[in-house]
Amino acid sequence: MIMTVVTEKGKLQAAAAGDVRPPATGGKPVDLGYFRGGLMAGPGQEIHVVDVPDKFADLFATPDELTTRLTAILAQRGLI
Amino acid sequence: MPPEENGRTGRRTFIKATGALGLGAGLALAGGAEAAADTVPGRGTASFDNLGGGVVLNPGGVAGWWFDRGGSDFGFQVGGPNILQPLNGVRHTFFDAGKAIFAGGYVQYYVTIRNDGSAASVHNLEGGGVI
Repeated sequence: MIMTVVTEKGKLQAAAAGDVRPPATGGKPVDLGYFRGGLMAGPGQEIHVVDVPDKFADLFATPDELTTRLTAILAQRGLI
Repeated sequence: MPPEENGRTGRRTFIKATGALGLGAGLALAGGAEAAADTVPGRGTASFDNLGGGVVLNPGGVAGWWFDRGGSDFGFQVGGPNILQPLNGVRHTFFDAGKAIFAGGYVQYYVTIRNDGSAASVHNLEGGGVI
């Protein structure tokens, strides 16, 4: 599976399942009939889409456990 | 898709999950979920809930959100944290609400959320417009 992660100064800030970066905003506006949303990088932040093991988020009992493991993966890949 | 009852708020929402994701604690996060908004006939969007997939936010972490309905302009809209875990009183502060209109008329909304707690948390968005 893929996850979108936001990092800042070598630390993981936020993560979400899938690629939830902002869509292109140059097209003609339409009304989808529903709101959609996702993550974006703020000032001083970086956003990455990373591959993690399938059902990665199902492996952890708490958000802390997930971010600890995800931080290790990002460090291995030189992203933080 | 039929509306689902949000057990905590009682509001009816549509959840269209494109990749269900669960944490071991039993909390189901809908990756890429899309939330339909409650509307007032002739007045536009009133509120939305469970917008977006769950975002895991480290303690002290800051998450910038974008949200839109495909680029159409729905006037003033603001989003805030819909806290999913933990439900222990942890405060999430939201700030930097914004709106952008791009050259072709595409409209997008923004908000930034900070986890003021001491442990990682999960949230998505709830909010709405002033009508």
